[in-house]
Amino acid sequence: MTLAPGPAAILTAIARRLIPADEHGPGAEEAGAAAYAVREFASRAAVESVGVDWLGAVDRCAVERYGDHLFALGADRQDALLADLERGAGGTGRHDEAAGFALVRDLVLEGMFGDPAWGGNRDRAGWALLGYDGPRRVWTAAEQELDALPR
Amino acid sequence: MTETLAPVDVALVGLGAANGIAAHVLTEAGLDVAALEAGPRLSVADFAQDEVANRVRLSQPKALHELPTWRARAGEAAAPSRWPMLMVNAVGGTSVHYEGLSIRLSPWNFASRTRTIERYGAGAIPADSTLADWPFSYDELEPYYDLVERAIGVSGADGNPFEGPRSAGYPMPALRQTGWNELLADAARRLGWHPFPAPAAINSEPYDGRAACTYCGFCMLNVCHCEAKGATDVNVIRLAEATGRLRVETGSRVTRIETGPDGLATGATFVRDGRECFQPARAVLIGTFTFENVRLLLLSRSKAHPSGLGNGHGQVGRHFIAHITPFVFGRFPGRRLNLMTGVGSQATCVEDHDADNFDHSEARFIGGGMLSALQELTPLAFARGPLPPSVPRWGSGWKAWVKANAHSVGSINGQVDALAYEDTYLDLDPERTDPHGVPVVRVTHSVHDNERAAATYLEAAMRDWLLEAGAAETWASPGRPVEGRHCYGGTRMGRDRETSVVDGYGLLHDAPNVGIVGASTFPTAGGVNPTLTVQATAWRTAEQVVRTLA
Repeated sequence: MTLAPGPAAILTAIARRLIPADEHGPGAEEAGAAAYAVREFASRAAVESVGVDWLGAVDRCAVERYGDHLFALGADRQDALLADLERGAGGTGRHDEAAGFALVRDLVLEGMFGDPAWGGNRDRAGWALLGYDGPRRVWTAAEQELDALPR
Repeated sequence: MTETLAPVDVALVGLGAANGIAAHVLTEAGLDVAALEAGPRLSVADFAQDEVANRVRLSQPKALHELPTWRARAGEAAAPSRWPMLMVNAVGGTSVHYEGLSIRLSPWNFASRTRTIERYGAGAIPADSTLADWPFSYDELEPYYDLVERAIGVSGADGNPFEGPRSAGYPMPALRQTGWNELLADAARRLGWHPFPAPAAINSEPYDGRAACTYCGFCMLNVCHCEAKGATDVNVIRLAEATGRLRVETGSRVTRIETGPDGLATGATFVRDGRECFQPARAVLIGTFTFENVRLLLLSRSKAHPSGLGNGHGQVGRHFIAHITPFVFGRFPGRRLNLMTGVGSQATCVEDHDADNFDHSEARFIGGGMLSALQELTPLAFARGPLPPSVPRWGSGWKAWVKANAHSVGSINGQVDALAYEDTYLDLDPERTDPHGVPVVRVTHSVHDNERAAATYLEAAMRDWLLEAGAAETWASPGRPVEGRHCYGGTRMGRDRETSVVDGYGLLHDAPNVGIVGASTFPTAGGVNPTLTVQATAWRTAEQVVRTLA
């Protein structure tokens, strides 16, 4: 078994599975959404009543279940553990187990689809996935018709 | 050492959607007014078309640290709110970032108890409900609706057959109707319903020196970049300040309403920069949203009001109501709905399912609610939105789904006209305090059978509507979402001081030089957005204060 990873490495491993890089484009890590979530986790955890030790507890859970740290597991095992955490059945025994997952998902989405000014959504990768060209001051009547393409 | 400010005729606690109106009415009548506002003055420069910035901003203000705690019933421990409050502390209050949907209540809403008993019998009203008629009718409020619509600038169109009689048309034509709006309007007509464009405090054309809306796509939770939105800081508060009779004290957090030996208010104590100040006034108007209105009264105990100001009959905090707001989503494969453009108040609404606009003989609830199909789906909001049960919530499968459907999902929301109950109320949390050590409000609230049945009915109607418009599949938001922005009661108005806190003008029975403005005075919620009615009642309250101080 490798050395225990820090919270940033654990969170990045989770973010990679939430939004993987694939044929549809960059994933959370490439788009800077993982790094955004790492920066925001501690302050948001405090507001949302999630323990800052949530990430460490999840990694220990991976070690107990599969004998290795979360980041070192194969994608199938990572996904199985995350799916259980999402519904509060991961086995950490924590009351904030599902809330912690929801927070991580929220942060990764913010980092992926929020304004690039916050360091995520690099090269507008999240917006490109949605086919969204970015904010504008004006939308015309023609552009608000059904099936019209933005100009 | 408390600093005492120059006395005024009226002190306003909070300067938002409600007291902004009051400031205008009072200063026009020649009264001197001081507004004590906890927040700062905001400007367009403080905002960007940026969903993350809005979240960060909303996580910082006073409001967040004084959020009420919630529990379902007495005896349980209260926990931090699960429901977003999204309040703004600033000059203009939450109106600076609201979507501006500005619609009147139906005449039925003002007498729903009497009208229900007349048509369906007393047994139709849930036994544990404290449903009450308003102490005045729609007709009495109608002139004030008209005054507010002109003062803040409301766009709209005639054609809603369920709207009460109007003394005048809308000051502006309706906002531009989008392809989505028309798709839903056509579908509603085919279902035999009566769709209409949402009335909105947003300029559809230049109005009152302010520009027309450019449909930028970031209206909700954002300040308007061109003052097209009728937030009170760009219309009525500006007019009030121009009279020279309104002094605005920002960063001023009111802690108590002071009262004299006769029980009447003498002014308000507030804290600014850590320093305590006293604003003497002949009258006080409290307009700080439902939770804070109740909290300030309960915190203002005195010799004359030992159980809290206005609470001589234990009514402060009672009759609490929150809207239940089910959403239903529809997927229109292969269509580009273009919802990532425009403003939320570009909406098609129907009131066929609201009030007593349909026969409730077979229904297991009274009232109902308006349904609205809104424009303005921002990218992060889309990505965070509820998904069909068959779609994974993350991973490659999810990613493929959002890519394929980002422009093909639309939603409708309903606003359930929920009732007040014996066991829905507000009080001070005995355990939790704000950072200043002051107790926060505790909400005791659960969804009752009447509301569950109404929400189920509205959900079915929303599914029918989306399917008729061409949706291939529909799904609903999980659970029964409580709308923390649409909260009512706690300082109910009525004629009988044993069952209400304020009179028909919004003045405390126990201290008639204190008025309450806001939906906390409403005996019933109604099934539509509250702000226009808040503003109409605030205008009426302010007029009464002018009369009593004359």
